[in-house]
Amino acid sequence: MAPGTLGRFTRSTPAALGILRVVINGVFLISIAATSFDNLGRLPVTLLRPVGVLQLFSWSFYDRLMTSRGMATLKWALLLSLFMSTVGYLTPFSTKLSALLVIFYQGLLRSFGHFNHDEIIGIYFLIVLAFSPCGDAFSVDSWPSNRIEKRPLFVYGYPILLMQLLLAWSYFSSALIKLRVAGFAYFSPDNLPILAIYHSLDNLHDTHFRLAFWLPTIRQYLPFAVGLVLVWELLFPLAVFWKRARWWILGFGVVFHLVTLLLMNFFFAYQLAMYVVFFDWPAIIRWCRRRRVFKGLSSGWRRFRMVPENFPGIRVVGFEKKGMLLWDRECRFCACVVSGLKRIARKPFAESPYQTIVATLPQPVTRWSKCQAYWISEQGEVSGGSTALIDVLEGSGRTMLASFLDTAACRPILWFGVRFVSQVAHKRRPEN
Amino acid sequence: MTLDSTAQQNSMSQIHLTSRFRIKYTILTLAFFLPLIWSFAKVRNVYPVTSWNVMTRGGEFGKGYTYFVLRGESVSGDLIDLPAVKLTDAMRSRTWGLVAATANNDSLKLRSPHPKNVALLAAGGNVESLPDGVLMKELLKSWGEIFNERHPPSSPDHLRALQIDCYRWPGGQYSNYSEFVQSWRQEL
Repeated sequence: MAPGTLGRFTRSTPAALGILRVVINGVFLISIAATSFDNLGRLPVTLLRPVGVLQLFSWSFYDRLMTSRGMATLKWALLLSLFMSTVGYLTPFSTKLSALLVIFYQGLLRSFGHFNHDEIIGIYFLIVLAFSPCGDAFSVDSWPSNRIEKRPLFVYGYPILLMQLLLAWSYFSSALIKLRVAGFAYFSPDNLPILAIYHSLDNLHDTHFRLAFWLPTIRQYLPFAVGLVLVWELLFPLAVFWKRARWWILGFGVVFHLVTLLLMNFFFAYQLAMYVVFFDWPAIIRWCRRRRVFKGLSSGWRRFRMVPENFPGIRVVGFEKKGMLLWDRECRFCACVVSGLKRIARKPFAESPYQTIVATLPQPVTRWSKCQAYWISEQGEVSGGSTALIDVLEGSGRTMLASFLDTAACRPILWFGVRFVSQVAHKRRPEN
Repeated sequence: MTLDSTAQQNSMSQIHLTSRFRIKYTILTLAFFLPLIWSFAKVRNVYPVTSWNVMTRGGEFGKGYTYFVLRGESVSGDLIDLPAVKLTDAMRSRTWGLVAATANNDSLKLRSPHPKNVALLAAGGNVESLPDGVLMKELLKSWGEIFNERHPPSSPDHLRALQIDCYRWPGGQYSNYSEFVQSWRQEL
């Protein structure tokens, strides 16, 4: 745990960071899914002016990219990667890939148009998530719960604090730059009307509101409005450290960006969506858990997950075989699986219905014996469900297949499949 | 192994984990804020390093402003305003930057332009000797094709030409917003 003041601001839960991963990646996923890359690919490549890191790529690369096939590849790569990072599948890899692809895609858009700032904060958040353990909760990776390493809460809290600081910096530095570049001229009564009218004259903006043309009639009041916005931008960092001021500051932000849309016809949609980093997610989760719908879903999921696959510290004693598979003889599906495993085995393995040795099994193991099969190792260690399946395959000489199923890519899916099948098989028993 | 030694080992691994993440997060924080502070000090954007210089200068009353309107001429001869954002939705409001840069021949002013632009420059002498918006017709052609794909020839909205009209607001007064400057037109 980080000490002192920093510690107070950086305590958070894996769930809070996990939800932020879902929301931030989800925002990009939905927006990209709804965007036509085919039309983008039809813009003449000769209009491209690669910005920043995009200058590292050659013109022949852009020639190949700005085609129907090139754009389809980029879109599918983005969708697949963002989907994986949204659901938290192979999170350490997929979040990094998503960040890289989004940086490239957003850079490409700026290479055609101009350097606008809307999505930039979202891009930074993707980078922060890529280097944090954001897949420890609300993720496919966290399904087999025994695979998640226990970490101090600082590890989850600091990335959230960093994202809040980056968002605060965007407003605070914007105010300082305005004062540095324009000085007191920024408070001129004509500043806002001219900018707003200029952005309302063409038909190339997001929207075509004409409210800006009304501003000259109230121009004498506008320096106060501009000053208020500047003060709000300068005070934005308070939202990070002072919870009571947070909702006023964020509320003002929502109003400010909506007014910008009406007056200037561009909308900072991503910037607004990124305000989610200021939400108290642990409190929201607690509130949701009290609601009937979420309560049902949550307890259903907890029941689904509760069957343990590992029993640390528990040994089956007086056991001399080189590993044995225990299964439920009352389950016909289990019998089929056992005979299937025997067919593919390279070397024979011992198996027996658990009912034959139930008296020798420790109580925590017996408790779940109707819900999953077990593998008992030579040392008497017990594993169940998907872990048992991997251990059986390894014990039967199918080491390659066992190693493949034990990879980070396969493990959560195997766990879910085994849990799902065993639950269905359990429900179909005559006594149920 | 005794319970005490297991607990000691766990606490050691937690300390190791914490210090590993502290180093990682310190590097991450510096990797963000050092370039951001440089960018802030220089008021310069080097993508993805950003200086939040949006609306920095504000509007100047005496200064003139140039803007563009995209219009299409339908088969029935009607001139209709076309929202370009709907044609290439990925660009969003960056579309006005695209049109302004095209009118200004910005892609021909790069240190290392696209080979086709190099050929264009070689044929025309230098970028100053080329007319404004020399690549505008290419842009209009691609937008026209996108639009007409959605509106087949049987549709009354099918376009026979697309044009960008450039206007100037001379400034100095809140009127006279549409002083015509020039137009680029592409038959489809």
